[in-house]
Amino acid sequence: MTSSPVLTASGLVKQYGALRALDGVSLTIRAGESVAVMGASGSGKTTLLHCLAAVIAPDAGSIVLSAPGSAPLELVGLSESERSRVRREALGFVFQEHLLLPELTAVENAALPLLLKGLRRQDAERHAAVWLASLGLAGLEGRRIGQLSGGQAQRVAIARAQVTGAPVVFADEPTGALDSATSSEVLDALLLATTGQGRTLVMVTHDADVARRCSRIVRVSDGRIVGDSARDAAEPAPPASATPAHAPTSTPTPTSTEAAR
Amino acid sequence: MSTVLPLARLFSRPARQGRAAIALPVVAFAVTTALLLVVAGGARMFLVDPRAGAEGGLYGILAVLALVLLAVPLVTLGAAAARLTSRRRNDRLATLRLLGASTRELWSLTVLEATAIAAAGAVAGVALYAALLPLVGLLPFFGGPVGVGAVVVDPLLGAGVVASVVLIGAVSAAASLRKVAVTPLGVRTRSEAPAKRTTAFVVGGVLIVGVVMLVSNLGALGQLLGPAVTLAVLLGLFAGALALLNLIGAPIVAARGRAMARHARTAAQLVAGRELAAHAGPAWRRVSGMALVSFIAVVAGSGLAIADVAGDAGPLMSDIRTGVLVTLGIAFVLLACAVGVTQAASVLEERELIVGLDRLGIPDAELRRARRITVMVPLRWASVGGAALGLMLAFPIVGISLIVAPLSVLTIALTFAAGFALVAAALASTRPIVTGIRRGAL
Repeated sequence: MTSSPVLTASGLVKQYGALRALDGVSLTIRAGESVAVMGASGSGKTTLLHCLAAVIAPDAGSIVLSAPGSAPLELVGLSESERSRVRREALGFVFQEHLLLPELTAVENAALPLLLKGLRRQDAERHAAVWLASLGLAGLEGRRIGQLSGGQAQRVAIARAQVTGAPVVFADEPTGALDSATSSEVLDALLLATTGQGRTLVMVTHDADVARRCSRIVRVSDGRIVGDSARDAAEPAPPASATPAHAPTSTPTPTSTEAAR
Repeated sequence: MSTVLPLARLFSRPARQGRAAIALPVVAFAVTTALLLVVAGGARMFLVDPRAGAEGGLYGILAVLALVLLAVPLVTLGAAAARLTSRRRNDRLATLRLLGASTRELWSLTVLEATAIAAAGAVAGVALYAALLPLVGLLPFFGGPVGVGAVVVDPLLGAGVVASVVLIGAVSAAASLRKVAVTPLGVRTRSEAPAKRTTAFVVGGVLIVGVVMLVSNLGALGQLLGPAVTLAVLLGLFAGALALLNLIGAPIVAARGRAMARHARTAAQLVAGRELAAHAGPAWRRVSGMALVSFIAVVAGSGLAIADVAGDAGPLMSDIRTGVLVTLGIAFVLLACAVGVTQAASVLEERELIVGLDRLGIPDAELRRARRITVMVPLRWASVGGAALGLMLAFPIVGISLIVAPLSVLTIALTFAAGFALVAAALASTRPIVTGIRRGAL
C-alpha cells in the first residue's frame, strides 16, 4: 500500500543571478520514506533541500507540506517568520557540522527546540534525555559538546532534530565529517529516529553507501531530477524497510509536545 | 621566518567572515589611538599651559586623574581589538599546531599579524585624530575655546601613543596565543570547561576592601606623606580600585550566567546563561567601560553638586564641569565602540551557529533576546559595581550631596540611562549583520 504524500513539490524554479539552480523540479515524498538526494557539487541538490525545508523560497512553483493531523500547508509565499515557525514546529534538521551550541550540554542542546516551542525546562530536558538514551547516549547528558566524539555529537543533533516529533527530518551530509564505522552508526541512529518511528527522512549525500541505506534515491543534475528509484522501479520500495535490523524493539518515544503542554 | 612570511601572506586573505574580520580590529585600534591622542593632548595642555598655572597645579592634577581613569578602558579596548585579531586566527593556528608548526613559528606569525593590524589601526587613528582636532579645539576652558594649538600633541608624544597602541596589540595577541600553544586540541574543539574564577573574585574583593580602607584613612596618611604624594597615592588608588573591579567583574558575570542557565525557562535565557558562564571575561570586558561611567557620574556628579550648593561658580568650577563632561563623553564613546565592535565580531564568529539556530526555526525575537541578555546582564553589574565603588571611595562627598543636593541623584540616574541607551543602540547596530547571516547574504 502506498502511504500518503507528506511533501509535494511541483515546478520548482530557483535562480541565483545567471545560474538556474532549480529548473522546474517536481517531487512527491511520502510519509515513512527515506529519500537520498544525490548529485554532483553545484547540481542543485542542496537548493532543493533548502526549498523543501522552507529555508529559502523558490522563485516559482509550489510546495505543499501535509503533516499528519494538520491541514495541508502551501510553503511558497510564506513570510520569513512563518517559514521559521514551520521549521520550528514541523521539521527537523541534521547538518554535516552538527551546529550544536558548544556552551550547552548534550541534553540542553537536544531540548532546545522544545524550549523554543514553549515547553517547561524540566519537561523539555526529560523528553530530550529519553531521546539521547534511545540513541545510545545515556549517561552523557551533562557533557558539553566538545567533550563528545564526532559520532556522539551527531547523535545529539539527531535527538535535537527528532525531539519535537517532527514528521519530516532533513539531513545535509549528516555523515560527511565522520569515518566509515562512525558514519554507519550515525546512519543507523538517524534511520532509527526517523523512518523507524514512521517519520520521513530527506537526506542530501555524496556517499553511495549511505544512499543505498535509504528507501529511495533521487538524482539531481543541472537543477533537474534525472533519476528517481521510486519512478524507475517497477514497484515503490517499502518505506518500513529502512528500519535498521538492530533497532530496539521498544524505543522510548517522547509523548507529543502538544499533549505535554 | 622563511616559513612565517608566506603563512602570514596566506592568512591575510579574507576569511569566511569577509574583510570585516580585519576591518573591525583596525577600527577598534583607530578609535583607541585617536582617543588616546585626544586625552594625552588635553592632559599635556593642563600640565604645561600657562593659563592652567594660576590654580596652583590643580588643573594638572585633575587632568592626570582623568588620564588615569580613562587609561584602563582605553587599554582594555586596545587589548580587545588585539583579541579580535587573534581570535579570528586561533582556529587556524590550532590547526597549524596540530600539523606540527613550532610554538616559535606560531608566536612569530601571530605577533607579526597583530602588529601589522595594530599599526594600520594606529595610522588610521592619527588621521581620525587630525579630523577631530578642530572640534577638540572648540572645548571651552579658561573662559573660552582653548584652540587647536593648545591641545595638539607634539610629535614625540604622538609617536609614543602610536607605539603604545602597537605594543598593546602585539603583547595582547602573544598572551592570547598561550592557550593555543599549550592545548591546540582544546581550542580547536572548544572543549575546555569554563575556568573557575573563585580565587580572582576573593582576592579582588579583599583588595578592594583594602583600597577603600586606605582611602578612608588618607587624611592621616596625608600628614605623614605631604599633600603632593598623598594626591598621587589617591589617584593611584582610584585607578587600582577600577582595575580591581575589572578583576572581580568576570567572576560575578560567570556566577550570574551559571545561575541563569540553571533556572532558565526559555531558550534565550538558557543560551545566554551558558554563554555568560563560558565567556564571562569577554562579556565583562565588552561593557566594563560602564563601570568607569558610573564611577565618574557618582564621584564627580556628587562633588559638582556640592560645589553648586556652596555657590562657587567661578571659572575653575566651570572648567571642572567641562572636564567631567569631556571625560564622560570619551568614556561613552569607548563603551559604544567596545560593545559595537566586539558584538559585531562575535556575530561573525558565530555565523554557523546562527545559521543552525535559524534552520531550527528560532524566532528572530528570541535570538535578539539572547544577545541582549548577554550584553545587558554584565552591563547592569558594571553599572552597579562602578557606582558602588564610587560610593565607597568618596562616601562623605556622595553622602553630603544626597542630603544637600538631591538633584545630583537625578543627574547620576540620567547618566546611567544614557549609558544603557548607548549600549542598546550599539547592540541594535549589529542587527543587520545577524539578519544578513540569516538570509545567507553574509
